[in-house]
Amino acid sequence: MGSAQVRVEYKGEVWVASGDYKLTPDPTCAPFEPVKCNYFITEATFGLPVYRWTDPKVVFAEIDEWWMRNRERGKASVIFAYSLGKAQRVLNGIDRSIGPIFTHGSVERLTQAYRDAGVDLPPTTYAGSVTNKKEFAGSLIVAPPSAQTSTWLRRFGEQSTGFTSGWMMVRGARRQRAVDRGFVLSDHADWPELQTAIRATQADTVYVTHGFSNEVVRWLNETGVNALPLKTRFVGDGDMSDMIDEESEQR
Amino acid sequence: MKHFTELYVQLDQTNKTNEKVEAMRSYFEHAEPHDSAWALYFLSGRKPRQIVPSKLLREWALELSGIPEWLFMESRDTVGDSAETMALLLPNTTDTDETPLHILVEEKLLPLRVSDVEIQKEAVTEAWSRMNYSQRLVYNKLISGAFRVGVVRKIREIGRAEVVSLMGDEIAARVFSDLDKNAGRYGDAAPPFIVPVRFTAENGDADDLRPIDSR
Repeated sequence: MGSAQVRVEYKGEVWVASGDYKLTPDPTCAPFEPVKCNYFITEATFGLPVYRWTDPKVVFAEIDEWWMRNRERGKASVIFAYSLGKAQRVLNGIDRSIGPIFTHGSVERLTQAYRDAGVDLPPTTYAGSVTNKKEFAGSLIVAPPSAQTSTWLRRFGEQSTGFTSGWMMVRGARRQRAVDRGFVLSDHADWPELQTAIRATQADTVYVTHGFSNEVVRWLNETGVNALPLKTRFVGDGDMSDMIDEESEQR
Repeated sequence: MKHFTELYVQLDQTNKTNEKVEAMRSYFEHAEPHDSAWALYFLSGRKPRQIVPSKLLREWALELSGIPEWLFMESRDTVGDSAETMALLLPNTTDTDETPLHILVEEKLLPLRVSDVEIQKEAVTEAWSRMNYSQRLVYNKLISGAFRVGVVRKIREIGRAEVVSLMGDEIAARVFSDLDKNAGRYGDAAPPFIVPVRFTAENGDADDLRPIDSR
């Protein structure tokens, strides 16, 4: 589990293509490993200096506090997190002693797969199997972002909603999301991590794709790293709720 | 400005009117009257005339964050707000500034308008270095722009009577009577509507200085 890179060596030249990656430690997946190469292909989803992640410990404490306050008021806490990876990172990081945790079907399936692979995750219950809706009061519900606009949410009664994403760093994006709380938690590299990862490869040429690629290319060239933009073949449809990965394709 | 920043964060976090009103009620119940007066002044969308030119603020923020101007502009286009962009770019600290709001505004910010650029720069950059992200955001907004946290219309709609009840009758009466009495006292340091001033022995009973929790 975690991000993967592809290394290709041909006639003494080494190319490395990264996928989406982050350097922030995450107990639910293997860490990113820098690989020395001549050519490095990097993503740039959060390639602007305003994106600097908060320590995940602080973010999980914010989530716990939000959940506890909602619980005191008898409200359900609905947290939106991408079903593969982010949801499990949230489940692993929160304080499991606060109350019961329910999941959306897609989150439940992938969470079980993570458990089977030996990742430490708290017990969860598939929300669809609950007959007494009163059980949801004070609980935490983990759902994919696509569930935000669905009628699926109604069953949880009085609720507060939260969204976990790097985009929550900026107030405008938070408001656009129309959730009660934004939690800055990303599975992509932030600005300092991009610089660190790129320089660690010692690549002669860096190809930058996705997100703020032009900005990162210009910055790298101005700071002594030879860089070029690489056009992405993945195109988002502009509606975050329908996306496979709500973070990388917002732009 | 610690409590005012917390209020700002709470107001900004929620779209629900009752939660905004609850946050304001809680702030006004606990804040000192002269802090309340300034909080009311800023939350109702008023602002003193620009204390430091935006261009200079940006220049200092760029210097401290070590990024070129074009990258600031790209960032601002994405963030959509200059004060917020600067707060995001400046070096981070987890420190918290404990200066009361009225002291910050009256003794630190307003006098800066007539200070030399070097003094302005030193004061602003020194303040930034002591503040966490949310405080830097609020500080930049105090200097450069109006607060948009969805309470301006609310405050205007509910009017004075409701604000009075939010703040608690006794405190509000004191704040408003002082606001009315001293309108214009700061000259062009503030616009010609209500101008909050600090309660002093000259303009009121010394008892007015009692902390709220000793009432």
